[in-house]
Amino acid sequence: MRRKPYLGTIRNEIQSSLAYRGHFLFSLAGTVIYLIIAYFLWKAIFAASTGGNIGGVGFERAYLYVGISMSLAGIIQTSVDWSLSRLVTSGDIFRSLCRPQDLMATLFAESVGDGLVNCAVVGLPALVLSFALSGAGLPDLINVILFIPAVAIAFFLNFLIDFMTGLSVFALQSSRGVMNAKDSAILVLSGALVPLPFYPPGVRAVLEWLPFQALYNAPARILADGGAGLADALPFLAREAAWAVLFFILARILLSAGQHKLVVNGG
Amino acid sequence: MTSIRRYGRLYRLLFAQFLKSRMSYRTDFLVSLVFMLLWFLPSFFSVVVLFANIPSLAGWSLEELVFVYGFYMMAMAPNGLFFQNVWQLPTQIRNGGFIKYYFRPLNMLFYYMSEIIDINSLNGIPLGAGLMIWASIKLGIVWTATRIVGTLVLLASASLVVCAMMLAAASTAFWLTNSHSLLNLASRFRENARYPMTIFKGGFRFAFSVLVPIGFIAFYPSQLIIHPEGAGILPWLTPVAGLVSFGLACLVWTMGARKWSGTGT
Amino acid sequence: MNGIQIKDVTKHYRVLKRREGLSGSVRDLFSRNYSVVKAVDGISLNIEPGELVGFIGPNGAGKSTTIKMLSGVLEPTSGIIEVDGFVPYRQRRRYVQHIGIVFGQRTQLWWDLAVIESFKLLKEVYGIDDAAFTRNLGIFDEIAGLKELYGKPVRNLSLGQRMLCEIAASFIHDPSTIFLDEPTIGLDVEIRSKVRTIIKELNRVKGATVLLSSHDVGDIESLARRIVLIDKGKILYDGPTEKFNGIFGRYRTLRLDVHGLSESDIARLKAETAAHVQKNKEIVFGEVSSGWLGLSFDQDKIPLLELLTPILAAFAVKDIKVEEIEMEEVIRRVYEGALG
Repeated sequence: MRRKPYLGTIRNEIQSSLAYRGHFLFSLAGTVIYLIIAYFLWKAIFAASTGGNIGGVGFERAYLYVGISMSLAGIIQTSVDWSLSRLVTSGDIFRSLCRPQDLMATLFAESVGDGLVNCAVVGLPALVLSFALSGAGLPDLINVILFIPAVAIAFFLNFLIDFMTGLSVFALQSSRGVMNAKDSAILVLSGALVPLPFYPPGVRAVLEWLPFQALYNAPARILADGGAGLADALPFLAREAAWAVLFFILARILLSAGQHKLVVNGG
Repeated sequence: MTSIRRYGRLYRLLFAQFLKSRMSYRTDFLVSLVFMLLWFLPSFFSVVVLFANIPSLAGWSLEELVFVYGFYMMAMAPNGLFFQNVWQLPTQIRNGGFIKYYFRPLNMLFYYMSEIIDINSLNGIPLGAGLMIWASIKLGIVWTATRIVGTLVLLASASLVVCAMMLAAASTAFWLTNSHSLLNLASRFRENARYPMTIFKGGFRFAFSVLVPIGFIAFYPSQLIIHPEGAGILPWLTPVAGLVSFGLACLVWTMGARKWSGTGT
Repeated sequence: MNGIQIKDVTKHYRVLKRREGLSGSVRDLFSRNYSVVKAVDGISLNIEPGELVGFIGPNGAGKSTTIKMLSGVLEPTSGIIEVDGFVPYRQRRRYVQHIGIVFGQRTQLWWDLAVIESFKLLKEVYGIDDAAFTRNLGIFDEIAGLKELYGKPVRNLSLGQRMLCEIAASFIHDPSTIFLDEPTIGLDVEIRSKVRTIIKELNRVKGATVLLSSHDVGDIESLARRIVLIDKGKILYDGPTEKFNGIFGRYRTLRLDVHGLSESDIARLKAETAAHVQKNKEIVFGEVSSGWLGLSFDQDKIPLLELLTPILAAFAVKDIKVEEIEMEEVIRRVYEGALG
C-alpha cells in the first residue's frame, strides 16, 4: 500500500477543514456548553448523594470521567458512518470501490485529517476546561503520555465501528435510525454519559468487557486516575488494542463481503 | 381566512401524495420504531441507574423526571414531522437548489418544509405519552379536563420552541457556509431539555432556560402540570415563549431568504 | 404596460477569494479577502408581449443572473426592471403567479410523485380551474405526446422527458411570461428537437412572452426571431436572428478525431492545411481536447470538401464531426468586428 496518496489526503482534509472556521467554533462551543451543563448536573447529583460519594467515586473523579469523555468525543467522533451511508444510497460507492486506493484506508486518512484539527481546536481546550472545572490538579506527565496511545487506539476503534455502521446501510434501509441508535448506545454503554462506577456491580462487570468502554472509559481512566502509572494503564490499553484488532478483521471481512455482493449483483 | 384553508388543503394534498409514494411506509415505520427504542432505551436506562444511587435530583424525583422526559418526547414529535427538511437547507443553499422555492406563489417556509414529512417522528408520541401517564399515576396526578387542555396547550407551545430553535439554527445557512454544525449544536443543546432547570444556579439558569429557551421545551411546562402552586411565574410564560421564539425564528428565515437571493448562487 | 422592460440594469457581487495552500488556509481563518464581480454591467432591453426572444452568450456571461433578476429572485444593484407591469423583486409572490420558469438541470416538479400528481399540485398552488387544467393537459399531449408520461414518477424519467414535463408545467397556469434557462442542456439531438418543438408550439398557441437563454446557438436559431447576445454582463447584439444567421450562419466547426496522432503530426496538419487554403486567415484552429481538434471555417468561402480532402489524404484522422459555430467563436468574431 503506497503511503503518499494517503498523506496527501490527510493534508487536503486539514486544508478543507480549516476553511470552515465556523465549524470549529460551533464544535468548540458545543463541547464547552456541554461541559458547563455537566458541571451543574453532576454537582446536583452529588449534592443529593449520601456523603458526596457514589460507587466509590466523588464529584471530582466522576466529573473528570464525563468531561474527558466529552472532550474525547470531539476528537474521535467521525462522520464516516454518514459519508459511507450517503455513498451507498447515492450509488457513488461503486466508483469509490473501483479506485485503486483502498476505500477504508482513504476514509481513514480523511478522518485522521479531521481528527487532528479537532484535537487541536476542540479537544485540547475541552480537556483543559474539564480539569479546571473538576477542581482536580493537573494530571501526572506519565498519564498524559499514556493517554496518547489510548486516544489513538480509541480513534481507530471508533472509526471501525462507524465504518461498519455505514456499511450496514446495504442491509438496512433507514440509515438515520441505525446511526442515532448506535451513537446513543455507545455513549451510555461506554461510560461516557454515566461513569461506570455508577452501575450495579454485575452490569458494570459486563460493560467493562464490552468494546465500547475502550472508546471513552479506558482513556478517561488513564488520564484521570492519579498515580496510576504504567502498570495500571496497561490492562486498559491491552484490552483496547485487542478490540481494535478484532474489529479491524471484522471490518475487512464486511468490506470484502460487500464488495463481492456489489460485483455479483452489479447494482 | 381563505389562505389558511388553502394551505390546509395543499398540505393535505401533499401529505396524501407523500403517502402514496411511500408505498413501503408501513414496514419503514416498524423498523424506525425499533431503532427509536434502541435509541431511547440506553439513555433511559442511564437515568434509572442514576436514580438507583440518589433519591432525587435537584429536588426532583425519578417519577417527576420521567414525566419531564415523556413531555419532552411528545414536544419533539411535531418538529420531526413537519420541520425535518431543515437538515437539507445547508446543502440546498450550497448547490443552489434552494432557488426553486422562490418561483411559486407560496409562502417559502411552508413550501420548503412541506417537502419532507417524516411520519416516523410520530413514534415519539405514544412513547412520550406512555411515560407521562405512568409517571402521573405514580405521582397521583388527576387528569381533569382543565389539566388535559392545559397540557395540550403547553405541548403545542413547547413544540413551537423546538421548531423555532431548529429553524433559527438552519436559517444561518443563508449567511454561513457551515451551518450544519450549528444545527448539530442546536440538536445537542436541545437534549438537555430533559434535565431539571433547578440544577442551574443564577445567571446560568437564565441563560440556559430563557436565553436559549430549552427550559420551556419540557421542564417548565411539566412543572406547571405537576406542581402548579409552587411553580412561580416563569412556567406560565411557556405559551409566550413558544409564540415569541417561533416568530423570531420565522423572521430570521425571512431575512435570510431575502438576503440570499440578493447574493444569489 | 405589458411585456418586459429592462433599463440600465447592473448586478454586482462581492466574492470571497480563498487563499492558496495550507498556510493560506490558516490565514483565511483570521481574515477574509473579497473582490467585486460585475455579473451584469448595464443592460437595457424591451420585449413585446408574445415575442420569443433568444438570449445567448458563453458561460458566465450574465444570462442566468439576468433571468434571476427578471424572475424576482435577485434585486438589481441598479436600474429598473418591469415585467407585465410588475416590479419582479418587489412583488414576488403576486408576480410569480403570472410567470413560468424553467431552469435546465434543476427540477421544480415533485421528485417522488407521478407527473400528473405534480400537475395536480400545481393546479392547487396556482388556483387553476378545472376546465383550463384539462384543456392544457390536452394541449401538452397534442404537441408532445406527454400523456404516456403522466403516470410515471418524475425520478424515473429521462432528462429529456423530464425537461418536456418541466416546460409543460411552466405553461400550465397560463402565465403571460415564461423564462427558460438552458432548457436543452445535456440533451441529445433527438430529444432536443422535441423540446424545441414544444417551446415553439406553446409560444404560438398560448401567446406568452418567452425569453429563452442558451449557450447552444442551434436552439436560438431554430426558435427565436430575435437574438440578444450577451457577454461579460453587456449586450453585444440585439437584433433579428436572420441578420445574426447571415453573419454567423455560414461558419462551421470541423472536428477531427486525432487520437493517436503525435504532436508533431498535429502541428504539421495545422501548418499544411493553413498553407493549402488560399485565404488561410478564414481558418481558426482550436486546442486539442479529449483527442479532438476543432477548426472553425467559413463554408461560403471554403467548401468543406476542399478542407477535408488534403487532410484525410495525408493524416490518419479517425473520425470527423461538423457542427455549428461555437459560442466562443461567435464572441471572438464579434469582438473582432464581425457585426460591423
